[in-house]
Amino acid sequence: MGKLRLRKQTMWSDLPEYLMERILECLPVDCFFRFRAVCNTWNTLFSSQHFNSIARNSQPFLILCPSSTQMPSLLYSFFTHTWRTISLSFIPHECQCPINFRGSASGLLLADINANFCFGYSSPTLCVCNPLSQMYSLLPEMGSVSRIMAKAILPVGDKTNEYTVMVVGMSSTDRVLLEAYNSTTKAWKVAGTIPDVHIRNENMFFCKGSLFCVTASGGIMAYNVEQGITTIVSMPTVDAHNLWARLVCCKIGLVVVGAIEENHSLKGLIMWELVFHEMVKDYKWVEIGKMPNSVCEEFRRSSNSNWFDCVGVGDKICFRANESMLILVYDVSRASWNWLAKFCEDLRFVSMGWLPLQPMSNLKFC
Amino acid sequence: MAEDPTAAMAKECKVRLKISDDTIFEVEYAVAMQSQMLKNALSDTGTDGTVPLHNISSEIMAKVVEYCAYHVNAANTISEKDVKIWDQEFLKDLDQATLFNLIMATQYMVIHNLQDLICQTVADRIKDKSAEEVREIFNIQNDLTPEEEEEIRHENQWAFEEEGWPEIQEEVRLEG
Repeated sequence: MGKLRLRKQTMWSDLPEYLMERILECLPVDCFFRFRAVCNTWNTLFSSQHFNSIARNSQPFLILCPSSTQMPSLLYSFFTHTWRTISLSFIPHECQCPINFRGSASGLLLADINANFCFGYSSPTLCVCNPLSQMYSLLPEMGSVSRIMAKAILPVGDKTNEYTVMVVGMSSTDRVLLEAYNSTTKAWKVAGTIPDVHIRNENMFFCKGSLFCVTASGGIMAYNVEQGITTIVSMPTVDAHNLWARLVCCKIGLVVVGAIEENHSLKGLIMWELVFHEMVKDYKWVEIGKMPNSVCEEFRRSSNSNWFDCVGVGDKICFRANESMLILVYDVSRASWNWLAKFCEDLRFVSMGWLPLQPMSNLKFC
Repeated sequence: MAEDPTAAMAKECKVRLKISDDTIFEVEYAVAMQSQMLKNALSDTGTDGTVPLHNISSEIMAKVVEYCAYHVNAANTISEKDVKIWDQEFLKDLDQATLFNLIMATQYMVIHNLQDLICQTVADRIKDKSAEEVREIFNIQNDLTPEEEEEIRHENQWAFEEEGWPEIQEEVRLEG
């Protein structure tokens, strides 16, 4: 075997394919998209099942969507710690009607266009879109549900490009139904009935086989889709304080964010994971984190508004006070708090929905 | 079954490695064992002879030995955080040619942890580069037609655009 010479120009092309792949696997997911333009081999590689699987299991982006698609959406990458803009103007909707983004799974966002409070429309039109591939699909009207109470989009299967959208709502006969849309059959089908439950808002999450939402009485409704079983779980109690609960779905599972308020001001925050115990066939609360007082004080100072919103993005939970552009992030796996780099000053008062966005490198469908 | 030679040999035995320009590197047995290839070679032949490693230069061998020597002790005595800091320093100022030769050496000598470290380092060096810059670094021919390249850029527009806003504020780590 000859000596290995230090050749300056052509050496990296001598790197065995296996090693080149190993290097590329270490790249942040953002690069999986940009480096497709390098050459044919890399284009094929980054579109392959293997790299898509890496992308699928990596930390999702955070996307902030204004209620008008005339304004660009903001995309944050936790790998590169930077913001990008992305246009969602490819989604058709009436200019006067706000578009509400309600769910996210496998790189797809679920939105309702022609939202309820836009006069003249009796039921919203649901739309599923893929911001990264700039594709969308308008869903047909539901068969049985006439008034939507909550909706969610379920993750795409490992082998298929099929997605499911689930809607909980009232039928014309005043029954609370679960109706499901399948992207392959392109049809709605009643998937179950839910006992009369008043859902507090439209946020519904699909996690580990069940749908979760907050009820009007402040509890959590868990609906096991396969078994058709509904469970109502009461909120955890913290001494005698009032706890305002928000649900977030993150990598570990369903988390309840409990804000402790005093005089309409945030005094503290505790997060619990809702864990299902097979043995007792019941849910239990497991505390996963608390906001330290110093962080709480900084968060209060970030805005004049007392209202805040939170969202689960991978293994992080993001918090943003109303009328603020500062985002606080809790890293669940490291139990640490960080402020994100600021984004545009001008968007402070724009109404925005925010969601996790999983970059999927080969899912161009919608 | 023969007695495990590792315990007896660990501190005392030296392994002789003969490299490309015929110089001999003497390394401790435990250090040499970081290489799966040497481990296999020595378990067959014992440590009496000299193991030939013709395709490795003395500059590269020195780096490999430096890494392996540090990591023999690191496992038990040094904190994970400090090991990470050392690893970063170890590769920090190495040029592309050295990195390339090092990674090939880890492939030949089968040293997994060093190979992983180099792969991550190379990835970190290219992650902020454009497609053109990456082609230059790896000396890759652009075999995409202008239409194909345009299609890729158009389909993945968001990934190619310049950052919308510069970072105004550094990410601040809070006590928590």
